[in-house]
Amino acid sequence: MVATLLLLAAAAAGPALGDDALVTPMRVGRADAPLTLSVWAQQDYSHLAARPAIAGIFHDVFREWAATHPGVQLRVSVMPALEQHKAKLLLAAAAGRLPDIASVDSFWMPLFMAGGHVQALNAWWPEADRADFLPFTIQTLSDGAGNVYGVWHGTDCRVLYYRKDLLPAPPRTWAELLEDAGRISRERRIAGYLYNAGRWEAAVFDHLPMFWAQGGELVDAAGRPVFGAPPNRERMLNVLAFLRDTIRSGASPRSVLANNDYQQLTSAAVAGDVAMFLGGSWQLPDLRTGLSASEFAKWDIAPIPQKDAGPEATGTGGWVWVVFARDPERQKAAAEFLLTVESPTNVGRISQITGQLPVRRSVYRDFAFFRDNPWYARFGQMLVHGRARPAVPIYPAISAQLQLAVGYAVSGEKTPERALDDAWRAVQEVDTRQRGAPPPGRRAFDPATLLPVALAMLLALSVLAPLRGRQSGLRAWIAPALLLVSVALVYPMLDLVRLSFTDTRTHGTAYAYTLASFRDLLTDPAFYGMIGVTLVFVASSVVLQLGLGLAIALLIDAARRRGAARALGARLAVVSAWVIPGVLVGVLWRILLVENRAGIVNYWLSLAGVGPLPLLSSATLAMASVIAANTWRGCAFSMILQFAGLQRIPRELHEAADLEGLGAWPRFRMVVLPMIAPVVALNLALITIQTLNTFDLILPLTAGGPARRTEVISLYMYRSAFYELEAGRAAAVAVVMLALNLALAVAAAQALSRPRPAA
Amino acid sequence: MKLSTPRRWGFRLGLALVAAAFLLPQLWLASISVKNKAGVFEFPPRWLPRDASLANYRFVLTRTQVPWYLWNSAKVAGLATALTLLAGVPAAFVLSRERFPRREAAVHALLAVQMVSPMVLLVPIYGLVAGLRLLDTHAGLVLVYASVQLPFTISVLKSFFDALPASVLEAARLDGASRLRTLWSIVLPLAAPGLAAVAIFDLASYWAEFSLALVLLDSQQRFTIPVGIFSFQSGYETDWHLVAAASFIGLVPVMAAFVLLQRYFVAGLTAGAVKG
Repeated sequence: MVATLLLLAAAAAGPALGDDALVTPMRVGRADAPLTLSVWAQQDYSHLAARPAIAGIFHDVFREWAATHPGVQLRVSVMPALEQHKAKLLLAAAAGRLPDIASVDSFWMPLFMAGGHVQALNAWWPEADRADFLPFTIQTLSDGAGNVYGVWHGTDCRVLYYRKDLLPAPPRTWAELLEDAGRISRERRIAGYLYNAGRWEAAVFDHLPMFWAQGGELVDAAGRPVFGAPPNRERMLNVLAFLRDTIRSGASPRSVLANNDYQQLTSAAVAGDVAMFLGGSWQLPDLRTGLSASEFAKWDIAPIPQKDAGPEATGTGGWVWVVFARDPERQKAAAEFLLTVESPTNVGRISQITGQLPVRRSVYRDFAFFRDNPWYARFGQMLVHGRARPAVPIYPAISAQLQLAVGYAVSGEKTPERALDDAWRAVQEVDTRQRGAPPPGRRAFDPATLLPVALAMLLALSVLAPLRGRQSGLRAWIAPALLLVSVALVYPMLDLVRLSFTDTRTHGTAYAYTLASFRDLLTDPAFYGMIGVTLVFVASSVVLQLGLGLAIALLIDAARRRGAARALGARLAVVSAWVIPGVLVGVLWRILLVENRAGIVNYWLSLAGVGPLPLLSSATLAMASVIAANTWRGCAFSMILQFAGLQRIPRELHEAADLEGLGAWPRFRMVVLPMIAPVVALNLALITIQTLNTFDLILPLTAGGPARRTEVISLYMYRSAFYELEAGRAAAVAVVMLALNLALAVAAAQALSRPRPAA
Repeated sequence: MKLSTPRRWGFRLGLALVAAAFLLPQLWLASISVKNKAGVFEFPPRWLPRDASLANYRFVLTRTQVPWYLWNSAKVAGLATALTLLAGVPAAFVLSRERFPRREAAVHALLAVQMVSPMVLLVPIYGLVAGLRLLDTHAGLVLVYASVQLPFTISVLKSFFDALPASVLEAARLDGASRLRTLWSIVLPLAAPGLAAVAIFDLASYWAEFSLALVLLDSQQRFTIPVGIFSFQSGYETDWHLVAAASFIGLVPVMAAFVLLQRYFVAGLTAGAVKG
């Protein structure tokens, strides 16, 4: 209730409140400024960051910029999820809708440079100021002619965080780490060593230093992948075997498989649940604010342990501001904005809060926080051994496949050899495809695109045309609905079939007609795995939803018939879960199932003596969790249908059953079931379709992980189309789904039209 | 039949358990949403946090775009529902009350198409909206929403219209009322509860829709509530107490509408599936 009131107040006041403020969630700068620049910022690098401290510092910095730049206003956007940020930028580039300014991960630069989208900043950026930046940030962003294409904003490095009170000295090698961590987890009953093994970039990037330190290389000088061929194969296998051994030796819990953001590492540390973790330099401020001073004093950092004591290595990342605006006036304003935000003073202020390592040399000199802080001096030393990911177009594919390999090796589902060789094969296929792909550019004109249009029009006309004479008046009544359905439903269905026979990419490059999408799909072992996952998910969800829905409906009906209770409350409770948007259900269950001891479900399980359990990280339990969440949400639908069905059973039948003294089961089998059978059949078809198309709930809950163990067909399709931008392949998957949908629709229609028993 | 006291309590207990299973998760979300960062990781977890505050709500409502996500969702869902009904009501009326060639085929086609999830069509719909130059606009989203929900809407409305007594319509025809007049002053008032059920069901579906909004919108200023809240999970670190507050804010309007209008909700839910 309080929330509702607050909400109303804010909804009323929100938009009005912003008018005289220079920084609002919707706008930075004066509302009457003639020039409006669009900015796609990194998630944690603007006043819209979902973390109050970071949002606060950018609020200040942006306000100062706005106060001195009355002629310019900004529309800042943050993309949902990092992968999405990249994919959306690529799609926007193809559609000619790029923002004026964007923040991009440094290793994406080649993708945007290749298209000629990124604009050089030299004209607006004084040479002397550039000299203040760490050399690698300028070199990486320059072309041969001395043009600089971006402003690096902050870098980072990966380190081993460890508890000094538990470990007299940090482990330097894997063997030492396994031994120390194993001992601590046995003796202290906390995790010895945690790291990212969930399905995301960090699961690979955090471990690349272990590969590089052995002399391993991901790609050769020409940018072709080499990590799976000798001698690199052996080095990568060592890393995967080490990761597998962290679980085998008891050094790490299986929950590492669910670690898909760094917060899980920080929170384990704050909760006192871990002795060591492989994290990033930016986590330091979180530890400092999350822990009491005495607890924080127990923590220290060390270089990442390697196979053998020897050369150090760490991975450095970082984000880059780039300007896409082509118009000189906009470019100038954009560059001024970036150089204000990245001025030495602001870099110092911002880095202090974000925990990023500044890339301006003067900050380490002039800013007491960085100059006198021993932590930063040490991060600085580690940065010397830092290495960035290769800036080549194939890297995203390598990362995607290695993420899976890490998942498989850690879960023990595949041997490191199998996991690596499968990843290697998949990357080579992508590489061959990318190199064989026609040069970028749009296909001039493809007459086949008219086919679905013509068909959709024909279908629409076949309904309208026969309306002649007196009936011609009906046309106007049907036409609007027919138009909408033809344009945005029938046409896409037909176009989907066409697309499935192409190798087109979502951002609309040239394409050819081919059966390759279907062939690749049918020969891809991952496809069958995903089909299996989908079958388990759909079958279990459907059976549980139907079963529980029916059980609850029977309970409510029985209670109602006997006047025990009106049961309105219970009904409302069940349906309330169903009206929650699927994404929120996913977020809600993620919070319930969180794998630390403060997670409520794990807390209850441990009270019951069966927990804590890896509810999101073990392949089996993660699937169970996803099914449970989906059942929780979907029960209501079945309950309501079944309840409606039960209401149509005449009272006399029940009374007759009462007179016969029928027990509960015979009554259900002989009286109830025959009456509701058609409803059950219909219900079955409807929820099968719904479940088959569910991915909104899974995305925030497990994102398909661990590895691919909860990646259902719809998520796979979405990923192919909008992360990997393989529209052709996604269309082929979607055609399979479409066929299933229509088949089930026919089944449902038959259930509907079957004559009902007379009431 | 009179129930013995133990059995009566047995039923009550069963119902209470069911209610708890569906309400407790939501209450936990509410609990997290008034905690601070340390409270989220407190052990043992507490349902009633020691220093509960509305600070998370204040942050979410004043420093983020969540109020605008709510506005966007309301706008898109409202416009899409209006468009759906505007196109759907006349079509359903004609399909229900008029006899013309291909009518049966059209009804069957509707029944089949209404089962196809827009999820399946993400790729071609993206292409279509890009082609219409409507990417990153609410207009594009409204157009697509209304279209994909139309078959369901029409078939439900048709079943409501089918159920109206023929005599009333016959009388209207004898009075010489036009088709439009019949629909407006006779059919719609009679079918009002059904119309409300459909409208609410459509509104709720649009409010919850995620995949199309995720794919078709780019600017955060235009995000709807599901996409906006999904984007609250940061890639590096997620502040769950803020996510919980934002999520709870996303739930409140649906819950409020649901509690007020639950009769129609349930009618809308059953209507399409179980006919008369």
